[in-house]
Amino acid sequence: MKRRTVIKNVVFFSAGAVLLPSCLQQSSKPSVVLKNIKVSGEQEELVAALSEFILPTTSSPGAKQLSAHQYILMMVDDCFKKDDQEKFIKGLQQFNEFAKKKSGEMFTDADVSKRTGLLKTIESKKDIPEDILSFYNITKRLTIQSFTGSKYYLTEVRKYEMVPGRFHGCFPVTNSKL
Amino acid sequence: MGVTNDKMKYDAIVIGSGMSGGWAAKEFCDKGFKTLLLERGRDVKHIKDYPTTNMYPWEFKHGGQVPQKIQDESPIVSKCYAFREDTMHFFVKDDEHPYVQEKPFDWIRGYQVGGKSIMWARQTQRWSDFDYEGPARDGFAVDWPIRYKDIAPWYSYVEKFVGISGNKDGLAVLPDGEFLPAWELTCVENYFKDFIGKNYKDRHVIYARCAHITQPQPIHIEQGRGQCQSRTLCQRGCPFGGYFNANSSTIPWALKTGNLTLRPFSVVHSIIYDEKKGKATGVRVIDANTKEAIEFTAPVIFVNASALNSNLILLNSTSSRFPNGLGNDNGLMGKYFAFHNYRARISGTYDGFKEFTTDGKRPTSAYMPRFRNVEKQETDFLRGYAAGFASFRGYANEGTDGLFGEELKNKLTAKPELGVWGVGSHMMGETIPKETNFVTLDKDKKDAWGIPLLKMSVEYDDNDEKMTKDFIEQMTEMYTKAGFTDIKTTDSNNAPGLDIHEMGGVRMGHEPKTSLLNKWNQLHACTNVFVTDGACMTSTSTQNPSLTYMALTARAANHAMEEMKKGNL
Repeated sequence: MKRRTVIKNVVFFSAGAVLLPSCLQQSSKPSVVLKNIKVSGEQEELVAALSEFILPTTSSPGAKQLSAHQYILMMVDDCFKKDDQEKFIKGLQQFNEFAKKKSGEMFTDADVSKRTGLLKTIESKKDIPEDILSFYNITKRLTIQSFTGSKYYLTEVRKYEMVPGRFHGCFPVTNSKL
Repeated sequence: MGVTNDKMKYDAIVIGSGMSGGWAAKEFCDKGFKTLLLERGRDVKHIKDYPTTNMYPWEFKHGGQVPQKIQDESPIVSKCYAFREDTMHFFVKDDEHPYVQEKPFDWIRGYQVGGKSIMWARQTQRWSDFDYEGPARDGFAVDWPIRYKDIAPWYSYVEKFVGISGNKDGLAVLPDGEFLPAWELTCVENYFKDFIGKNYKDRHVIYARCAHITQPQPIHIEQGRGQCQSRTLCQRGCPFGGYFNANSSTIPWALKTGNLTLRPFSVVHSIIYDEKKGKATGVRVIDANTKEAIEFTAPVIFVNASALNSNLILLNSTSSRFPNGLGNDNGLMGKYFAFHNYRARISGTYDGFKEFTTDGKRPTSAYMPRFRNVEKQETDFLRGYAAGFASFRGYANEGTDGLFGEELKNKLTAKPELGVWGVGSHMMGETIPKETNFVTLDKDKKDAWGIPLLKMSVEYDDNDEKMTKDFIEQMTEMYTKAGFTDIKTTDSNNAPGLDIHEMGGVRMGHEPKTSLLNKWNQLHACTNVFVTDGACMTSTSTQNPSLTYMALTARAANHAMEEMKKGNL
């Protein structure tokens, strides 16, 4: 390579680096290491926002506190068949646009009432593009799993007994702790 | 080959450290015989090597699911009901140990000390003479060379040591044993038991006997095992030693005598036959790590490598005297291979006992012993099936459709609503051993240790199809009459193998012309080699076979020691 070209390239690349806003650079990578699916930092934020809206923090921990978005991405990456991974990714890519079309705002920018309206529309299951519905259903199912499978849920809500030490085959419902 | 020295000479060699091999080792060591126990896989020490045993559900990265990559790489073992995130380290992955499927066969394996005794389903029902006399009465396979009276004391012998929970039911078709207390049946199971008892002559619903210590006896305490705590996490290995596996019981017992040498990573290539002496003198082992070939010698050899691998080792043990495999003069080795038919299932619901549910957990269920063709032939197929029977109370209205936000949260955290009782049964069908169901060695393909791959040619036949249909019909009728609703039946059409009850290929019998083993599990043509795992089975009956393997092994090992004392081996 000629010296002049090398210098030109160096200038060009470093200029590019300077022009790229640093916040975007940082958020372009998700916070979890993914082996099979490609998700940007912005997309991860969208998953986080959607899962927190599906399962908000109340008197008990919500999706955000449980890092549901990381669980969702990890599960789709590790435990889903290729077809389902593709549906999830396609729906994820289209979700903000879909939200904008339906509510006038991207989901991440929308206020509570617009988000509520959008999720009601999706939950109606009427005329929702297949990929959007797949993405939403997977996100919702895994958000619920991250909650019902959490230490909080299995110690505070429905207590998991590691060592029951007993079995009663005909136990009065009224005495049952459930 | 390596130099033979004193370290390589033993009084007995046992190939395989699982359900039956552990018993052989224990019996020999108890009587002072220096024993070498060979295991092809790694060591698994009781408790120490159960990495998931005390893990809570939220500690599993994938909530219990096996990652897709592992499922894609190992589609066969992934079909196994017990292959989950918490147990997968105990199962052989497909690509680690390939085999050849001339016809589809799902081979589920556990290559480690303890073998599959770590992950077994722990069901322990005795056979009766309706089973041992089956082939002779119905004209298939060959006559068993033993009867119930021959094995009954050995059933008792192993049951006392293992710890079996059960009720004395007084049924000729499923003899009673040495039982520790049983867990309760549920309201619905008791209802079905009474209903079947009243409406069907000779059909019974009982508590399924299982290898769990419900009330520890001194013999269990001595093994360092304690009371089952109803965790139902058994396949991870139990920190209480509440269920039986070789790792918590027979193997540490044998080690404690000081007479046992346990050698993991020892792949047995073949058994060495000495033509001058007219008997086997030892085994040829390949060290799994170093690939070094080593020979060990002993006057008696027990083959307990699991049914299919025992066939493989014997078929691969060739000499000019036995060009087709050790003891295989009649060419029947590998043939008459059989299994259990677990294809069909039925489920339903029961709209009663709403004021009751269950509390705690129970590692067993109810059981219906075989009722078809017991006293006499009465259907257009031979033999019959046993069935599991279990009931549980599920939750109702668990759906979350249309819900999100606080509404969803409230639904998930509210006190759950109980649903109706669910009921279910699965089929455990006897299959008929046939010459056309066989395993052989592949002529070309070899494994990483230079041992030929096993080739399976095993399939269902018309008898299995008819029996599957009959199970669905009879169970549907009983469920319907009992008032169960929402009845659903399925025939999985699975390939053979997922029952994990491979049997035969080296069958017992009276005659050297028509069988390979005599009534003491000795090869007719090489009497210092004993085969006492699933490979020895002449027929399959319907009962889970491990208890019978253990009893046959203890019986054969004690016979071997008597013969050695008499100078006959």
